Amino acid sequence: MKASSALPHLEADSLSLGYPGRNVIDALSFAIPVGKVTALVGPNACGKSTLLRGLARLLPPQHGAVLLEGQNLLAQSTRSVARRLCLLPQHGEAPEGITARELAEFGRHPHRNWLGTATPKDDQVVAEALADVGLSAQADSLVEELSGGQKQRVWLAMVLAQQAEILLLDEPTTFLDPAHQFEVLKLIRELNTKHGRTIVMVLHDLNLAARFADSVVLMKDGALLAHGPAAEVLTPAAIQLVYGIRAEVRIEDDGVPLIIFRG
Amino acid sequence: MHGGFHESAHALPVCRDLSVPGCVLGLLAGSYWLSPHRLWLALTSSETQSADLRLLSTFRLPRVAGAVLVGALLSLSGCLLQGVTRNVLADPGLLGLHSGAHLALVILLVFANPVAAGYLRVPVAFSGAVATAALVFAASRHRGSTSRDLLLIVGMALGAALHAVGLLVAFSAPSEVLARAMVWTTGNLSGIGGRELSLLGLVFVFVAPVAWGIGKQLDILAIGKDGASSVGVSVNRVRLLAMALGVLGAAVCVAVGGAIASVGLIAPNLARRLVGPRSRPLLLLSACCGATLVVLADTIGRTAFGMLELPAGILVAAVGTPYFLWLLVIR
Repeated sequence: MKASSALPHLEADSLSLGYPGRNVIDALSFAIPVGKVTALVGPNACGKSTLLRGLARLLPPQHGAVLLEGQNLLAQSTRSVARRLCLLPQHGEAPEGITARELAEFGRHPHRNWLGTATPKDDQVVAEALADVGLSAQADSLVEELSGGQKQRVWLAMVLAQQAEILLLDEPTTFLDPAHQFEVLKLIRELNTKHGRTIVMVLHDLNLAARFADSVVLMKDGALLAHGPAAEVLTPAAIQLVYGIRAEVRIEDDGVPLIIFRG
Repeated sequence: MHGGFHESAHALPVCRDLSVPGCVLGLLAGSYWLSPHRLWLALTSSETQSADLRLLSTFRLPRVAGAVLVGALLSLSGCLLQGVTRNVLADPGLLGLHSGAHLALVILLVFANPVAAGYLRVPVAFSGAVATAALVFAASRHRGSTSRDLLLIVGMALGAALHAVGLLVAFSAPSEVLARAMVWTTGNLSGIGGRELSLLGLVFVFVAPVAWGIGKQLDILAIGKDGASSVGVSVNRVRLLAMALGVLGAAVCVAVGGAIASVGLIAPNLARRLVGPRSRPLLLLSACCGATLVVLADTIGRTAFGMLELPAGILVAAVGTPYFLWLLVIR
């Protein structure tokens, strides 16, 4: 583990991303705030997930580059990148018949030798990760038998076990009821405060983004419209521009904006 | 429960209990029954000229070894392809390998003289199988990556088409060509000699450890491409390697022993029910199940019907398929 002063930073350098015949993001430059929680918000198909996949080198750039500690991501080995950077995909599907512990253990892969031999340290890290997400008692349960919130927490345990300093989370709260959304986001917040991880997450719920992120990045049509504290970014004018609906924004007592959509 | 070899330890007793009796039976049964006592004597006594030992070393041992290797390789191949396509019904045969080998053999029989054809049989069938698989993979490219669903559909379609062409060529050729094509392509182990055994052994010694080596990464692939690369698996490399090993293993078996259909489907699925979905124990037990299945099928085929020797492929299909259906329906 690196000292917190040397947290690796990730940046997009005039990055263009897309799929064959379709450009989604054009010449975007952005440095991920180190040691902070950043929420990526914007309407459907605005390129949030594409950007996240690009940052995690799952989508090769059409132009430009993603730099991890100043070095082109694609020039580094998959395993060495995986020790510092980790993406939790949107619809994680746990294989049939796998236990919570086994799934969490997959996070240890980049730390192991090519045969995948487990060390006592691996076992310890996995046990700690499961404890951190509150699933020690369910370690040997099948993932398919867990509740929706618990499933999402197993995935977070995998991410924790990976011990990467930068976590990219693609809609970590989809399919969860409000209580579980809250619970998972609280846990994610803890990963930042307790474990010092840099976190970038795609969220749809602006109120959750405002409550749980240090800063909010607002995207539209593949471009960054605004970036900063939620209260500055999520204004009625910006919401009207990006989502095309009228909204009222109240600042709560704790300084967190509360957005009410008026249609 | 993780890492190294001990994670597969619980699969080992099952492997032993399955394959040892199967192989022993394969050595005992034949044109005449060798009692276990005589087998023991022949293998351990200092006398090197006994008739029993000659029978074993020139006929039964190579035959059983061939069946073991063919069964094990086909099952490893099925296991790998099922892991990569994430479809438990993927079978090497579904990639059109058998049809490609069949067509190549028929063309060889039509155009080459019998002596040359005899020599070229294995390389030609192997090339036919590999070329078909390559064609199937090339045709399944979709938006820059191989589509797993397309793979099986294209494989089945191309396999059916090539099979039809093969039959067409065989039927329009002289009848002895048709007869030999039948013998060569219906999963018959009687053609396995020293050369074929060493080829099978060589391929097995290469395929098995590499498959074992990538087993962990195959398991991780099951969480999806994005998740797997996020934890540091080189997804494309692992997939390509698994498919290449699968095609290599199956193509050699098809080239040497003809179409022993559905071993690659039955054995891994049987093993999956016994040890679960983790690749390493699964690969190990699949290989043992497949080896046992083919040894038994071959032993029954050459002993149970008097003078008539039934090809192992037919027996595997006749015994294995109903058993497989039973597993699917009852369990």
